[in-house]
Amino acid sequence: METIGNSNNLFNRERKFLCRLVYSTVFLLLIYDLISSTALYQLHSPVLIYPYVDITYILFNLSHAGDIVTGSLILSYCFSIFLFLSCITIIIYPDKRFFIFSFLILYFFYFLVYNGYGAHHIHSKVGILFISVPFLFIGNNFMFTWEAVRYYTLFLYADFFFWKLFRLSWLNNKQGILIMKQNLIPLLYQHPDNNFSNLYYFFFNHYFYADILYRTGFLLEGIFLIGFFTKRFDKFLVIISLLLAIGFLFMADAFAFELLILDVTLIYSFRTEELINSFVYSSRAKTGKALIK
Amino acid sequence: MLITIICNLLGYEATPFFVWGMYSEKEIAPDAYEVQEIIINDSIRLDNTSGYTPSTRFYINSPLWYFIALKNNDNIDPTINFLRSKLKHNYSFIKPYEHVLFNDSSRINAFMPWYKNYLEGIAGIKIDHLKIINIKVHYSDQKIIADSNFIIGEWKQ
Repeated sequence: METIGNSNNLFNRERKFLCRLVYSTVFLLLIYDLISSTALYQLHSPVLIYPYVDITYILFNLSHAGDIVTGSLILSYCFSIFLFLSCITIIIYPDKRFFIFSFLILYFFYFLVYNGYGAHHIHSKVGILFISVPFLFIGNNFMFTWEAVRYYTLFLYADFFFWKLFRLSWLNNKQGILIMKQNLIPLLYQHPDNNFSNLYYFFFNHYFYADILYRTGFLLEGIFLIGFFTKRFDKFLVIISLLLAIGFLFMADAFAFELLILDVTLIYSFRTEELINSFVYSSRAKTGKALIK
Repeated sequence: MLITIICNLLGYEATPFFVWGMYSEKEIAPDAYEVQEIIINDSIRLDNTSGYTPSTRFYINSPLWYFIALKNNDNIDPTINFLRSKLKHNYSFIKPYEHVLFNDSSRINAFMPWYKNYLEGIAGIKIDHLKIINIKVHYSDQKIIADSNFIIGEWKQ
């Protein structure tokens, strides 16, 4: 006889699978940071800070925590080791939520150091933070937070769209070409015979096409709004997000591929009937009406 | 998500509740574009535009651009100017924490020694002499043409 009214046991199999999938990807991204010489101990005690007017960075700088950890080779080595270990232990023990909590704290700290001392608040690493949140929960709560992250993913692309829409930058005739020139002229100056030089020069001479590219990206971002009403096109949205990441790299030399980790919520989203069933199960469990098979 | 939406409506960012508004500001053509050349030991040019991963290039270029912005602003953190103009007399509340929150002269002076250490780490070369040249360029007829240049930072053993 199996009791299935305990909502904490629901979606355990899915949670384990997704947890291992997500953190295996995170592990590869940590290796990428290591190869890129941007692990904490590889930063050689950076000195310039950039809180701008972001309250999180202001509080972070007031705490001196960044200077203390990055300023000590031993502490920054230990930090990097713990960050890697916490990720590995999550892959081995996906049920132990303490490791996920530890990873989240450590990665948030790394995120603040990377951006704060990198003198620019890059957004792409935030995907790892948000995708970690559902794994802090089990059962129904896991599924609901997973769904919430799916909506956040849709929201962020829609937000790209709305900012461009309301700021009217999509009407600016040379928006596309000015973005390209600003970001690519250093590359073309140092490497005039780059593989893409001819293509870039073509856009420089025919700015109309660069603007078409920019406006196409703007419209593709707007398509994400459809995800708020139906899940039928989620796989299509994954392809669009990949195209947008390639577009950012081509037009602005901006690396946004780390953000694609959020796409896993579009690839694996729960069906509406599963959401309803789990809600019914949890309601019954709360009222003591456990289902018995 | 709710906090993010509120932040967006206010146009204020509080990490990790981002405003996703990149490239939404109307671009204005600058008078000239700026390019940096990083010269190691008087003979090697470090390739800061390709050859390294995007993350490495971010750490080579972004702090350097902020260092240039500090230099161009008479060694005063541009965020201080921004907050002074926004907060007016209320800035006096932040003033006592200026040295903790923003880049002061000690941080600015420490930049070139740090930069030398970081570049040694990624390039695997012992650096005795490091020179950063800021070059003003413009695009014309399938070419990027240099107009003027000056040394923005230098470190010697």
